[in-house]
Amino acid sequence: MSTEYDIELSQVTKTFGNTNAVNNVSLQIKQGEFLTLLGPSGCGKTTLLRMIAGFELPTSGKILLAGQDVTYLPPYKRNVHTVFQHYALFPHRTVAGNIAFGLEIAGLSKSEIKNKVAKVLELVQLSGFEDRYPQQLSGGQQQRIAIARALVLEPKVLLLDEPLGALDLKLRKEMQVELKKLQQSLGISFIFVTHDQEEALVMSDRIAVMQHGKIEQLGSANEIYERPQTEFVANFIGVSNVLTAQIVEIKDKLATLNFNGSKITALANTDLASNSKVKFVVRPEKISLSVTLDNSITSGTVEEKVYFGSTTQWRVKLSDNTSLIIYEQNRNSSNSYDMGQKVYLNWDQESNVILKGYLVV
Amino acid sequence: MKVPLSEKITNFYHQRIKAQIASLLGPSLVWLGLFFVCPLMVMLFYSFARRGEYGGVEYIFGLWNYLQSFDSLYLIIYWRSIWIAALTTIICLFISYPVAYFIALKAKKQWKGVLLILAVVPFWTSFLIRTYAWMMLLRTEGLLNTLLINLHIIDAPLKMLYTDWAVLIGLIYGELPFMILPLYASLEKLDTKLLEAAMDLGANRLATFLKVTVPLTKVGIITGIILVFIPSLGAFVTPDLLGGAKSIMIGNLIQNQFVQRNQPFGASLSFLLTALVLILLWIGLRAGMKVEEK
Repeated sequence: MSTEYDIELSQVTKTFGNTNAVNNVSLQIKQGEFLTLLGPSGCGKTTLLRMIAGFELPTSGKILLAGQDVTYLPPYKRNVHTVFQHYALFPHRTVAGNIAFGLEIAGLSKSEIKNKVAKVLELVQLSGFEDRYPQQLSGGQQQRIAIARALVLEPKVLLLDEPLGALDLKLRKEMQVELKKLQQSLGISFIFVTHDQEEALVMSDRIAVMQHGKIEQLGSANEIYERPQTEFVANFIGVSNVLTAQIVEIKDKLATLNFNGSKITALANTDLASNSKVKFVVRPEKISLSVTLDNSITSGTVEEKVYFGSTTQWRVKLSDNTSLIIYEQNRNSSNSYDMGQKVYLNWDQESNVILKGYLVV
Repeated sequence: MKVPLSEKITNFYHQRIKAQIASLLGPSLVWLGLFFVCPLMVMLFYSFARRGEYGGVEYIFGLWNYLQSFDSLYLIIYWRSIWIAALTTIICLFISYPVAYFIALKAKKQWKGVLLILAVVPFWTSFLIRTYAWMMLLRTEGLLNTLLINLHIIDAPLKMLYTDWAVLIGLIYGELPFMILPLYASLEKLDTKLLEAAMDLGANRLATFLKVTVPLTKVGIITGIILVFIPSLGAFVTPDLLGGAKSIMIGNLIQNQFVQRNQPFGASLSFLLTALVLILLWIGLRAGMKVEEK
């Protein structure tokens, strides 16, 4: 039996009434991997996590934990532990009491428990907080205690259900980095659920983007951002310009497209027929603007300018009435355009990504 | 010396707040003073007096009423009252907890209200009528005995009415809602995420119940115990109707004194009952706290 994977989901489906909350999901989580389930609310990411934890039973499919079938085991018989969205710390127990809970259940001696509690508190940098009650701690501290309470049991996999959602922005960013560091130093797998795409990009080894109970795309942060496969992924992660073009010809997975009369090339991952219309994506920061014609792919008129400090966001309307978003770094003050001015657009042809399943006949 | 304006304003508001407190608390304080504290003082006064030869109060003072209360005849009655009240409370707790748990956590939302109303519906009928109904059920030619005989489970009717058990059944029946409602109130507030957290950390259902659910609903449990134990200990209608002569409780004893125009002894017994309740509750609550600390 393979133990290369900490968790294997095979064809897992969960039905509530008539809706498939999770629809035929298969997924493997490698040992020591930081995997994020990313998607809008109601996409099934939390349900998937709850099935791994054992709070929900799949309608069909299998869940393996380190090669062992745990599909129908109750939560208390699985060596995975959860950091809950609102921490779910026991209000009637002190910090030490909360962390000791699982150890007491496991029947450890008092001195062992004390040692482990002290160690894990040191790990989350909250030594000396043993006798406080959760209500006396700040959100960030409660968060750390929730993590400590799960980690002290040395789980194979730690499940985190939007654990940073309740923190303010600054603390959230700090905790993102801290959690990632913690995960790397411990070497255990984290499955992290979030709807925050930035959080996912910062922390994850791999991201599974989910929608309607299915995994739309699974890949590294870089792959998900640079090579989105569907329009949903392209729009959910970062800002995208989704454009339409016609295929002229395809050679060795490289497609030549006719885009508003200009010939451009794009990677064709899917089987495409000549002459069919396709959608492709160009990220706003890949496009450069200029007032001269040289090497330009297309042209348009400036419609809107939003100044962000380090970057400026331009909206340019093309001749076919589609609008493009362009980010320009404010390296110097020279690149400024007037409203209604004609500008030429250029971008690296490798940035073009043809989307799956969006053939327009 | 001139008082600064800011201080004047602060003083004005302090006065106002005082006036508000007085006007809000006043009516209830007057009511309690007139109809609770005053009668209590009169009772205390009586409890040290002596019974007149033909009943009534003779104003000669001493501790004899209290000394008489410790007669072995009465000690048996106190003891019976305590165990019947304690057993009533425990059985009520064990019956009510699952009921309250179901209504608060398992029942569908639209059913909760209906189920709660069902729990208190018997209270819409007079307590006396409901107790008479129990008499009809329990007496020798009653419904229960007839049923058991017709089913050939027993040959001769069982003596059920006028026993301690009849009193116990009557009390449990009467006090049940007072246990269900506070338990429901605290179970309603229970965050079920905490139960999931406990199971996630390795606790099975029993351990989760004992280590999380029970401690977090402690307020409801204690409230329920107090609300059931106190009236059970002092009950007199139920033991009077269902218990008969042999199952007399403190409440009946006190009632009898006033009926027989022995107000001084009745008053002293009342104070003893109050003291008993306070002592038992204090012991119980302390024990409860200790369990929690562990």
